[in-house]
Amino acid sequence: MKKFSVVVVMFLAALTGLPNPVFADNHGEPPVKELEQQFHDLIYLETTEDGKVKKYDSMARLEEELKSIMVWPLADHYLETYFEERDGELYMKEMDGPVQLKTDQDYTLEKVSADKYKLTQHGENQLRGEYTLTITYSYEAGKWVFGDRMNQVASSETGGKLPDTATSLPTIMLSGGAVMALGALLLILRRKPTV
Amino acid sequence: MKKLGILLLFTGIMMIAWSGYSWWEQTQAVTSNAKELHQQYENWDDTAYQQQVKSITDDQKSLTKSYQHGEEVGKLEIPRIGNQYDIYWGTGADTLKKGVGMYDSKWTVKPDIPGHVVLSGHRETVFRQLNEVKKGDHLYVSYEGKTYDYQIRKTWITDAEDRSVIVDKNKPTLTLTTCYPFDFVGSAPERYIVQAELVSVDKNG
Repeated sequence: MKKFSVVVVMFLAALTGLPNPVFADNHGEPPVKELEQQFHDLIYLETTEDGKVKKYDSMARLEEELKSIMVWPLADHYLETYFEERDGELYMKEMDGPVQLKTDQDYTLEKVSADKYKLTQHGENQLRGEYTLTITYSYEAGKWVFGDRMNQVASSETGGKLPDTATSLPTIMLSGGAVMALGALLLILRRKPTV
Repeated sequence: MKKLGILLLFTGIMMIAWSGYSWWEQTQAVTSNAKELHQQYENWDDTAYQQQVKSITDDQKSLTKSYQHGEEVGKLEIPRIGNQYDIYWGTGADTLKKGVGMYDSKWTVKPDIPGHVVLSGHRETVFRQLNEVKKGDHLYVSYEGKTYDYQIRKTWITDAEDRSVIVDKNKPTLTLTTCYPFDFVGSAPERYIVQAELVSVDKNG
């Protein structure tokens, strides 16, 4: 009887246990082509001559769609980078879009964990020269979504290094604020009457 | 405890004051004068495609000079933003604190030589509005008594290690670079690139 109880308890634990490799493996591979098509359809939208997006009239509407195929920070990145709202309309910024996966060409899809896959594709185009596109897929809320997309340009190119054009001033200013707040906190705590 | 609190408070105030002053000082390399720029360059918003100037004639060439890093070499004007920027020779940290830097390398040239002119600026100070420029807009570089009119062809974002942007070009090309994202605090992982082609050269702008 005791043995039976242990078996039952273990069975139930196995059923309810979240980090269960048997069930996690059932996610299968991410639907690479389908997700890429959805990505293309949401980023390379049809616009009027002045860049107004025909299908969506607000950032919020497009945001909703993007967040259904990618993690939220990534969706925010694409919205901020490639779109803008003017006079209550959605416009696409006049710039070259992100690198797309060529689904008819070779790529490698590597399993990182049950919830994560990494795709790599080497390519070349006129704008960027040789590049490597890396896409991370994450299994979230019961489906596969884009976790990250990075395109790294080959370092073997013989051109010059892009200058570092970020100053440290905002970081120093924020640190100064933190130091000041700490000092103020110490002074307030010191003044507090002891019971 | 009291002394430490006062010391920290004072240090924090000094850090904010110093970085705030430095920030303000660096923004002084930019002169905002949209109205004057729009009057001076009547075709600044004529986004219709203009043919690239393939070479610069001897008449258009200035006497190419050599400069010390940090020395002022010219001006960049972007009517779309309404700003005029001082350009300094080189793109080292000290030069970029002064304003826009002109890249000095074997791949790049000065505006009076057919090739690749690269200008870089900090995203928090001089180039913080660079994302407002559009394809077809005109950028004007004043250099040694001549004004070089470039028309923007493309804008894109690339990673900070990209070595395919600052490369040799046969035809007169201007590239502006700054860090991206614009609202990122700290060293940025990407770069914002604006590339334009020379469409005309005028004496004394």
